[in-house]
Amino acid sequence: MNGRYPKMRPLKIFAVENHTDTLLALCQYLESLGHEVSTARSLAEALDKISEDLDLLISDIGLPDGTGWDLLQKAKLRPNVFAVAMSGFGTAADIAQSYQIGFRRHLLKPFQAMELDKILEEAVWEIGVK
Amino acid sequence: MAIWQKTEQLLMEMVEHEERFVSQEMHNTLCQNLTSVSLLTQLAVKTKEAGKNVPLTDLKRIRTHLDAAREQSLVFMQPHILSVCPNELPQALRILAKTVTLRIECQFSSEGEISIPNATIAKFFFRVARESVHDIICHFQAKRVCITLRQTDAYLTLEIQHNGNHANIRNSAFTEEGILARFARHLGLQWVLDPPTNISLKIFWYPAGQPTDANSLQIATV
Repeated sequence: MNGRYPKMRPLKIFAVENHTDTLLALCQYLESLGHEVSTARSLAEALDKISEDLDLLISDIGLPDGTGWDLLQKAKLRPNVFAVAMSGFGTAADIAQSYQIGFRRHLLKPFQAMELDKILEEAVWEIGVK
Repeated sequence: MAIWQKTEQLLMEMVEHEERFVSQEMHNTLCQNLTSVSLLTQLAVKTKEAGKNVPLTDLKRIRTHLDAAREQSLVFMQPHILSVCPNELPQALRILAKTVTLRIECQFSSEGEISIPNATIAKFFFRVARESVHDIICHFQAKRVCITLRQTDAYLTLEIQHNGNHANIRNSAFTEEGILARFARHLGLQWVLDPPTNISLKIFWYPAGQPTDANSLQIATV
């Protein structure tokens, strides 16, 4: 914490990633910070499991049965849910697509844990303000 | 269209195909492992900073991801190494096979005194092997692959055997109209695809310009 953001409260996070090891590591990391994490490995599973009282969605763009962009378009999330895209592709077009669809951040793999920390702080800040 | 224009178009297509394949592979392998390493390492640091012990299982997971990333990096380096050392093809295929074992069972063996004619052939054989193995895993759902590089007096054979199915062959690299087959023909290789019920991809190379059994290179997946 750098003092700019309020003290982090536990968030309800939904993580969508088809790569099992990455999902495990991500889940373990987020839980170690005190957040409540639920997961899915595909678009269909995500649409089935996503809940309404979510604080933050973090989704891979490339999923076996669709994209993270599809997920955000199809899932009817509250406006103050902070959505984060993860992808190995970071062209200007990819990033623009993420922002246009409603993702607040486009996290390029391989990302560092500290980049994720910063995004979590921003999410807490925004959710707290709204 | 002039011959040089056709050649230029083919080369461009091959380069773009290679870049797409490599970027997808990097995303699926190296990027995932490096992301896991970063998250698990930071978790270990935070655990230590909190005055707690880092579980041995977490440290082992970090090591596993680092080892995998190292192997995957080596695979991406091989075409560049083959550019200057074409006779390293057996070693390049050995590295490829080792990386494949992270996903499915894979064995590599070589037989005879291997002699690769030039860097272009070495790189192309490696590309075909790499993409074949990728498709065998992703499209054919194989659980086991055996890669064999065999030199006899008359020819060199690269044989890739697997136990997958061939239902999705049309979505794979094994097509006559695909860029790999067309590029093979451009290099003077003959690309032969057997019926999908018993898939066998063979590439023959005729160094003297005329096809004979005595001077063919062969790649086969059975």
